[in-house]
Amino acid sequence: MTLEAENLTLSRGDARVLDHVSMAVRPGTMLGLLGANGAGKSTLLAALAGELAPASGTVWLDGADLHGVPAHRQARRRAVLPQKPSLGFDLGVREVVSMGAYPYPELSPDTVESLVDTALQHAGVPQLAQRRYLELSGGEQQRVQFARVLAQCLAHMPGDGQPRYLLLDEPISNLDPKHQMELLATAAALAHGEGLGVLVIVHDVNLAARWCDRLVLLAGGRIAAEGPPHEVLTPTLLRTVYDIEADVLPHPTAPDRLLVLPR
Amino acid sequence: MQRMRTGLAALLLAGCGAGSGTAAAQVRVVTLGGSVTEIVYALGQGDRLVGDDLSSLYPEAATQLPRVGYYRAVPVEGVLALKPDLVLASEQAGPPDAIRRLGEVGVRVRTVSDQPTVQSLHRRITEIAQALGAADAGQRLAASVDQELRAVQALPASGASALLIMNRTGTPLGAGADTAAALVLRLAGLRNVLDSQQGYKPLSAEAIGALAPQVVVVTQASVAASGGLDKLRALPGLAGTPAAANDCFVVMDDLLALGTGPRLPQAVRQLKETACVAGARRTSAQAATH
Amino acid sequence: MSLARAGHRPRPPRIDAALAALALAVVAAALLAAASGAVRIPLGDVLRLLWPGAAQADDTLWRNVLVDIRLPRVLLALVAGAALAICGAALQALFRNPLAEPGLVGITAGGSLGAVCAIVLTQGGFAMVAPAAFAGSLLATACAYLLGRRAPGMAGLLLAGIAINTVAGSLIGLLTYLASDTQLRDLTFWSMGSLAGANWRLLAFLGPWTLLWSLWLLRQWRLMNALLLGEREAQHLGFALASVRRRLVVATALIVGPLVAATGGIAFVGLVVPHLVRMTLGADHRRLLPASLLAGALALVLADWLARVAVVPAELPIGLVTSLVGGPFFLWLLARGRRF
Repeated sequence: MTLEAENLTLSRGDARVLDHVSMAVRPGTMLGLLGANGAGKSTLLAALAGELAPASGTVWLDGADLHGVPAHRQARRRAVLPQKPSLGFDLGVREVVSMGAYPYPELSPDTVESLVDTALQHAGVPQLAQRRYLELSGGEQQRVQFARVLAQCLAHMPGDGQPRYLLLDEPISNLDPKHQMELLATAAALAHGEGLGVLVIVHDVNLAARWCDRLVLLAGGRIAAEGPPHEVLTPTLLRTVYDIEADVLPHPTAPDRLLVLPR
Repeated sequence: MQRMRTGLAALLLAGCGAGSGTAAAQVRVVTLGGSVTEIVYALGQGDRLVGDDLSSLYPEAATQLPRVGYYRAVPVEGVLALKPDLVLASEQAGPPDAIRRLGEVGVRVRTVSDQPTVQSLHRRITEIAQALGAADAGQRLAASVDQELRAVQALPASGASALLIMNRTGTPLGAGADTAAALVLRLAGLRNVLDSQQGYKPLSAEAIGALAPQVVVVTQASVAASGGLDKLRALPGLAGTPAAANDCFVVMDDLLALGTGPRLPQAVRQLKETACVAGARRTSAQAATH
Repeated sequence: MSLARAGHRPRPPRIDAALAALALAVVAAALLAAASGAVRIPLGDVLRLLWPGAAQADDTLWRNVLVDIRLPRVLLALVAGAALAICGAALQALFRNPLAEPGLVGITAGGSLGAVCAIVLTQGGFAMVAPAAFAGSLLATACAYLLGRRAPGMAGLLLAGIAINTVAGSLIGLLTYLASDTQLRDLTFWSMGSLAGANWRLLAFLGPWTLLWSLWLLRQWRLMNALLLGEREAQHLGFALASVRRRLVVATALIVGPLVAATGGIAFVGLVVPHLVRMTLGADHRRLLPASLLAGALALVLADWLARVAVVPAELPIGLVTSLVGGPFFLWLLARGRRF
């Protein structure tokens, strides 16, 4: 059971953005998608999210061709947090988060309420529950949106053995360092604890190394490397992907961790 | 109010005296249509009116009555609020649904002919007189209108070309065939330069120049809206017409020119007796012999 | 980590109170509107006349006025106001724009074109004008929808709607030029809107029809909330956009089309009422939709009442009242700077 791309080729206009890309998001793991700007990360995420149809290749959702799965069923399997979620209308925080339950109209109102509470808790913003969304800061809004997609992932059906997938496109861009750590920690914990398959796009290589189980490095529309951080983060690969000179050191205080230092 | 009460008393007496049984019962009348109202007054029955419509502008007394709105958008409840026993409606009054509903609610509704022709005027007078139980007065009115028309027709006709325009919004509208204005022009022995057009249409300055009317008839309101007759005469298009050259602009009262009512002979007479119209005849007759 | 029940909070009570207050206001306004008009009927007699079997012989006029003229009209105002408002709310959600209203997809312009054709090219009359207006509005909406599909997102639909409105407008202009004076007057009055054509036969169709589709719209609140997040996000929450757009446009056309045919163009209700409700109660469609329904009914019943009693024995066209009252009120609200 995976959410995987098989031999995906995708062009935007004349430019080929993805070139025979194959990778998989597995339940219970957190996968980090790294690459320079324009390498194709958001395009790959969009393809996995069902937004873009590939020129060739297939996206498989738990063994089914994504193209043939209707939108409402996709939504029950996979939640997507886009890069700059926007909302210009006057909704309350609870109302925004409870939208995560929309793919499950069969849930009772009480269940939805407790789902919302749980999601707010996980996202670290239970204190914002009674506020209006438009009054919040950019960082707070981003975390409320995170709570929304969490709600979408955590709605459990009895006897439902099917895994859920969570795609996060640069979810920490507006957050301060503490909240960046918290969000990624939560995502990783949910991956390991609830069996979610998480894909996250981040620019900070060290954060990716800290929290992700596996990393995929994209360069020029192709996969440059895939594997656990200690295998994938080498100066050579970093030069290929980011075009920077970097030193990769063992973390001074935390064992089994790496520290990437651009020169 | 006082006038109405005295009028009512007089009517009741007259009704008893005349012996036409229906007259006394029809006390309250509402009219829908300018010439319908005018005819009611001309028959001497104006005291019975309790309401009319926005287009009822003659005589002056008609404008003092409660107005139910425009006669093609009559509100049923508004008419009923006046507690009419009889509604005299022009055949153009509407919406048809409202007129029908008035009848369904139990009000006596009489629809009368209202086309811009002399025959229609006749029928209208007769129908209204009958509905009001004043058939004799109706006959007298019809006869007098006929007589006046004949007298006016006997006056020499010039055959000059004429144009009637309205100029309230800056763009002049010209009267084509099928309008009351065309009827007046025709009866006055004038040739309507817009005879091939139906109804009122906007005219460009060039078109007016091309039509070259010898006589231009304008309504009082249009003159006022244009800022005076001199300004109107100086408008492009009009300035170059034979009418402007011979100073042959005839100003007529709006209702006189635009409605087919009992004062139709007066309108025709006014036109025929205007010096420049008669003069235009002479010019065209002279042109014919040269 | 497991799903811990954090304890549920009850739904904030103030919203239900608002809906209840609106419902009461609607009932009160309907009673007021039924009890007053050009013909003076004392309130006590109103209730007596509505009671079946209690009529006396000389009540006929009052009874006719009340039952045949006023009641259908008040009911039509309720139905039309509710329908216009909820369709306005739906389209504002679809276009993510608080300035949207049913006319944007061509419904009103198409209806006007149909009516104008009937008035100018035939002898007019309700029997011709109404079906022509209905056909016109459906045709215009279908054109806007089909053309709009070629562009991604709602922008296509919006642009196509604008194009259709422009084309309809020029055709209307052409026909206006060809019209005779009496036809012109009829056109003007049709475009200003009127509830005077209300009768029980019309309501017997329009009432249930509008109710049916409005109830369907009420149930689409999740869809409309999701649209507020954006088209992509709505898709991620499980709503297939092509089908969403089709369903909402079709429902709106089916509701507003017959209305425009029966009442002419009534301005402002579809635009201002949902906007007002959003400004006071927030954008959550679970409350916005039923509140718009009630507020629209209230607004139009009051507007019609004003139209009927302001210049007795004449009547104001209802579109005039809604614009004259709605316009400045709307400006005042915007000036106060409330968010939407």
